[in-house]
Amino acid sequence: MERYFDHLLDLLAAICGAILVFMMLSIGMDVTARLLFSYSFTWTLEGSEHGLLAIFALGMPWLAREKGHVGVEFITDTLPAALKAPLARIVALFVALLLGMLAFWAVRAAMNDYSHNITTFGIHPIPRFLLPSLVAIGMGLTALQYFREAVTGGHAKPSLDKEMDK
Amino acid sequence: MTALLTFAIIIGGLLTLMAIGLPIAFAFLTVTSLGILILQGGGDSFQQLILSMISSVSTFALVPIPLFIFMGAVLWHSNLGKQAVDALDKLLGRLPGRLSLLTMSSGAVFSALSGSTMANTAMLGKLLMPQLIQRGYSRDLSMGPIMAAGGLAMLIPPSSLAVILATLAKLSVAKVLVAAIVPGLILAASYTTYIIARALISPSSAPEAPQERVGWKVALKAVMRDLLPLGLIVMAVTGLIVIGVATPTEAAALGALASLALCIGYGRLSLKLIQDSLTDTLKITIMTLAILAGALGFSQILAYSGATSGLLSLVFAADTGQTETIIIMMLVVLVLGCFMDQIAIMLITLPFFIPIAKALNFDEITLGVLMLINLETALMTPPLGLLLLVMKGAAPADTPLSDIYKSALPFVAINLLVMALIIAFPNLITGFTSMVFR
Repeated sequence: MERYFDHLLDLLAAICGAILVFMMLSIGMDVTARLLFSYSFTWTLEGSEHGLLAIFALGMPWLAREKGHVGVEFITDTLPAALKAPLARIVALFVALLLGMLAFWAVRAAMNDYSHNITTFGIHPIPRFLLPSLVAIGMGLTALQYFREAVTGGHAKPSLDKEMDK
Repeated sequence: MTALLTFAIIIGGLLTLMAIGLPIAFAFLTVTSLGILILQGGGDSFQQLILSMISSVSTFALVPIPLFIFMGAVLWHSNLGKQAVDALDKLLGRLPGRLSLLTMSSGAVFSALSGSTMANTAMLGKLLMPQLIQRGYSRDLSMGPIMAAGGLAMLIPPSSLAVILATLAKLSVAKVLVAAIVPGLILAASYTTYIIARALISPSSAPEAPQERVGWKVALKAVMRDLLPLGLIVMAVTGLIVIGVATPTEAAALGALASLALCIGYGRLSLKLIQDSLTDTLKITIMTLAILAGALGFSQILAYSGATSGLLSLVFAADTGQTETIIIMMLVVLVLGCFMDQIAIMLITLPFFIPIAKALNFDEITLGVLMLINLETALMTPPLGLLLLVMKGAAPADTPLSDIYKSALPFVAINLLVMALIIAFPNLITGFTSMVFR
């Protein structure tokens, strides 16, 4: 089961990478077309904004697994190992609960937008419920990842050593 | 409840959560969520928080962040950055303190490309420190330039931190990027002068390294082949913004595409290069966006609780002058920067600082540039600056922390002097930006 979860997080990270490449190409093409042919793609701006949100939401659980959410650790680093490990589990459980709660409210926001048929503002409006839905998926999966860490141990932030090894 | 008490509870709560190891993004979200529960009764306000997070992340002005980072990552993984440093080495010839100058230039290039001053310090500390010591360089002329180099990377375009600052402070990204150029050049010149002066005054601290004589033809070839293309990309990115042909986002996209084109030209483009660059880019981008998403609600809670307006009233009641107030702000950043992440500091302080600067008629772009220098200064300010601790881990095992402090102090002093210069003569920045954006 854990293996499938890891595959899912990898797949989401790959989607984020593809979105980033698409953003880069579309903006590059847009500015080139504008300068050379006085033609502009009207969807680039809104597409990039939605793309950035998708990268944030879908990439968050993957980043949590990669221990990429940075924290201040010079105090916890001074704690004895016997105290550090349970504290890390408590912190992970706390984050899981926090994100679980926010995922719940993101679902409520999506349902609210869906029931009122709300669309985004702009030249190319899309149903707005898609945006909180992305957040709900991202927060929900990140909550699961932190819950996994709370159960299995380990702390959900990169250590100084990891930063140095980059 | 007084404004000061409200402010102390909110900031104190945030710092406590960070101290127990909560990742910064989630520490902000926790305080915001508690604020919503206490001040607004929870419920549907949480839906509003979700929508605020969406609007804070879905901002076109933030798009340069992943694109600049990707551009840097591509140049980094393709080794084109290292190639540029080698070319620079040939150019420096027999300049006093040549290896320290090279270390500083490499640090500035690699910090800009990797997007992480800490990773850069760790890497150069491990790679170059032993070589410098072996060649008889003193510890302070070995470690100081490595730590100071990050400051240059934060100022000389393309700087992701400058884009984040401009977005958070609702300033023009183009103006902040351009405004940082002059102080960046002043800092580079000051560091260079200090290193050369130290090497001349105390030749034993920077013995002349055996350097193969390089003819001008070889040096010119190295510059044309290895340094110029990289320099052209950076200049083109800045130039397109300055002449108004492209927005910072568009210039960043073109820069990223140009770096890929450069890799094709050098025959270095591979699937692994793209994969590694994308992985690095996503890690930094998602982390940054998560902090930004978590912190927008935080600044709203600060405003809603009355802490922002209360603190502003206190500042005005104290009736300190413009210069004194700016100095106090910078001291706050300096202290926070010794133990907190740079983006987190901006998120905590900017909601207060920008209104205060406006009220005092102090140019906000200049304030932004001061903050950029200060954020980097704080990282290497003894005793807690994170770079000092990273350097301790990267330097040879017998290096005492006191030596690391000593090597950082001259560069901290230079940074503070440059900041003082900007506060005394803000025209250095305002004059340049108004000339460029006439």
